[in-house]
Amino acid sequence: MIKEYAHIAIVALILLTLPLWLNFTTATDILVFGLYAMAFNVALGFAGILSFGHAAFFGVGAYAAGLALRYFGASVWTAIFWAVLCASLVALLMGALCVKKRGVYFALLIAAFAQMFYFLALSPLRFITGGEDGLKGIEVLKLKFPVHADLGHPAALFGFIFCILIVCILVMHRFVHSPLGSLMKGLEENEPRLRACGYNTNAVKIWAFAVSGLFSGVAGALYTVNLGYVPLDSLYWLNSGTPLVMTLLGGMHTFFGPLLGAGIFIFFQDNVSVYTARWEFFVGALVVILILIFPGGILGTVKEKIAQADEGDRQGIWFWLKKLS
Amino acid sequence: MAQKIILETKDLEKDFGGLRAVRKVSFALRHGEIRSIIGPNGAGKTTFFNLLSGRLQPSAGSIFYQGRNIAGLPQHKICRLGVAKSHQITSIFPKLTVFENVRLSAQMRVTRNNFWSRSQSLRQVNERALEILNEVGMLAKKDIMAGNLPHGDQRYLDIAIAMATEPQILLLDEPTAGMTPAETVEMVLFVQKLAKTLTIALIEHDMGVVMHISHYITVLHNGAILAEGAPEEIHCNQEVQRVYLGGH
Amino acid sequence: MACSWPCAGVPSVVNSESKMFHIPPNILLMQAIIGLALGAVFVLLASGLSMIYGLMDVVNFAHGVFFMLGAYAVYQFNLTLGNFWVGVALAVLAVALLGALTEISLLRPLYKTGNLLYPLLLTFGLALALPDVVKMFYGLMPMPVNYPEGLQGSLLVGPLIVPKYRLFVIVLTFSVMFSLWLFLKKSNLGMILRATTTDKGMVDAMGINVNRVVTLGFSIGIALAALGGAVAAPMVSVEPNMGVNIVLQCFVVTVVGGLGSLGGAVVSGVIIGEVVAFTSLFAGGYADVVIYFVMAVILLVRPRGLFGELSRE
Repeated sequence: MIKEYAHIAIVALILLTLPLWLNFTTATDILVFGLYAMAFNVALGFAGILSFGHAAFFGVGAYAAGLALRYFGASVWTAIFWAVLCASLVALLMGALCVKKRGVYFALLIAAFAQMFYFLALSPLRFITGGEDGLKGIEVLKLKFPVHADLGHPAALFGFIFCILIVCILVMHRFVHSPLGSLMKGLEENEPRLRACGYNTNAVKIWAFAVSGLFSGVAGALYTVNLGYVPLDSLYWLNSGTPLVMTLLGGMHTFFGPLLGAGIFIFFQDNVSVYTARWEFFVGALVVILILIFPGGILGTVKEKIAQADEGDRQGIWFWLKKLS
Repeated sequence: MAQKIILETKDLEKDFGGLRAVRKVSFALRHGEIRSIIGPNGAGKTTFFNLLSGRLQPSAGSIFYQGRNIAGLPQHKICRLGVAKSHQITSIFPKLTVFENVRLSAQMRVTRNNFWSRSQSLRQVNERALEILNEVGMLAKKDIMAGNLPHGDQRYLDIAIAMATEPQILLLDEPTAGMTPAETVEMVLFVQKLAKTLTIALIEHDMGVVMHISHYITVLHNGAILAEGAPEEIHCNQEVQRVYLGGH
Repeated sequence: MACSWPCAGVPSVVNSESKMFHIPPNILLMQAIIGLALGAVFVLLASGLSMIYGLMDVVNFAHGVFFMLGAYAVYQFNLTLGNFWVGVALAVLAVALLGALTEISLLRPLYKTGNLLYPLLLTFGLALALPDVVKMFYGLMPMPVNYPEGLQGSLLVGPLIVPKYRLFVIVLTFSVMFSLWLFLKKSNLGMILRATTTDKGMVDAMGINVNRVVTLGFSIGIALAALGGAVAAPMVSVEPNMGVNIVLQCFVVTVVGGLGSLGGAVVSGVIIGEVVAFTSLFAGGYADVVIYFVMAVILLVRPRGLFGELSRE
């Protein structure tokens, strides 16, 4: 059992070193989007559910946290709590409504529902959400529990978000290895057979989707805490593509793939977008290339190569790399 | 064999668009039987099994399991009641190990929503999975990835997954398909062993197997029952011979 | 409240603040025609999407991009050649050709994986990348495409106001859909196309090159999208992201009609076009989102869409 958590520890250590060779902003962004991508992958990579509406959960989480902070002077923990509650409920509801639809229908139906939230924030509710300008006016946060910290300070902010991320990773890991997690894997592999084994596969899908939404909501809350405001774009359906690309890049059938993908994506975004505004072209081209050549993503391809390698090669570092995924 | 009727259909029908695949089939399966369903290709045998297991919904008629009408129930509920099926085209979880395949199925009787425990720690489930693997003779292969198994082993795995749901009735759809003569003999012995605790209905094309193993035989043709009876009767039945010599 | 694109080109006598009971019937009729024209564009898009889905089981995320390319193409051809009609024809041909090339070079290699996710994700990648390519050449500002001469303004039939161009769009779409229907029902090639949507294996067994049939079908679907963009160009704002917004709405139209059903796409397109038009009349701000409400209601009541097939799962 210690071995299993060892690789989480290794990842944690690597993440801790990020601010040493990247700046704090990039590093913190990687943490936030890493969580978002991993949450997304719970649905896609583990349960086989594609959705283009995750921006709804992320955005609802972001706005819930933002509203709690802005209008109710809530503490950071309270804000995160509300984000989790709202995002999970939304995911549960949307999942339950759409669950009977297959694959693609489902993915885009969710996207369409997500757009309703975008619209809600843009127009009817703009007096509280700030409409197109986003939700502004959140004061610099102070952490009171369990330690005192000024979250305006980049290092403290990074540390705080890092801790939350690790907790979420631990919970997700536990979930994926639980009986329900096995059901999700079965769902992805052979849904009809799972039904024939006596499981209500619709219920499993809804569960998986709700969990995915829950953690996306946490990521959204952290996004708000990190940025200090909530941009309207966080609800835009096309931005559900961001965790998708990160997951594809890192490897969608691996646990840490999305985190790796997020790291690489954010790194390039922060460094390349300085040179060109045509950022989306690169992302789109990247997706096309990935699908055509490396559908398993980085970690997925590595896993494949390892599986194909001789027994003798499976010592040392390769073994640990395999364990990481 | 004056045992109780465990599974019964009355005037069961299934239409696909304009095609009537199963016509007014009234069928009764007794507890502890081994019943073979035979018939030329396209006779509706697999469709019939799919109706019994709930994979398809009947267009008309009723299905009684232990006296209760189960027609129209969703597949997962019928499975929980005790009717399990193995597949004509092997259907397993290829990227999971053999053990994980069976455990996933065995889990159903113990927990469906547990999201916190570690799967390894559900001792009851794990033990049951190992028992079943032992019964089908695949214990040694338990850590092999299911997709890498040879064809014959995959068919045993398919059956093992069905067994793990603790059924009362096991429907086997062409269990010996694609098997060598030696493998077929093993499968026959295996089915006979299963029949000691389960009621079995199987679809088979191998007449040797059918004649040897069955208590009763039901012959389907064009979706309807052509004849039913003990193996000797069916063997001598003129209609059956005509249909088989003609179409097979 | 900024008027979303369906309202573009509507004479100023109608504004989003009008109260329902004060609107004269001839304005209502005009709005109905506008709705029908909008519906026509949706029909072109949705039927193309439906056809591609029926043929390949792939929802073409890049459909909106080809719509956008059709609009830009007509802008460019109109600019260089000075003739709107030739521009439309060339736009459709050029974009359809591009579609065929895309299918052959990018999508076809993915069929053998058997995974339906990959082609979908690839079209998603295209949907991200191509608008930026257009931005590189044309920038972000909307390109103006004028109504062709002869179709500017409106016909006045007694008290009725009938916008000429919109009438043209309706008639054109009707003719195109009718020809498409004829083609699919009566011609040999059409029958092969239809057979391929139901059973590729059988068509292959008949010795027909299924890959070419799929490419043809895909190109027809893209041609429809491009036509939609080309005829929509004078009515809307031609800018690089015009495809992004419409692809989701177009998908809604298709799903409401039933994925894979051309008849459904037509009926659904018309209904939704009218719903959007009248919503922008009475409750302007909600025009963009009413589509999703309609979809939610219809799908909850009739999950497979209006004409969708149950078996298509």
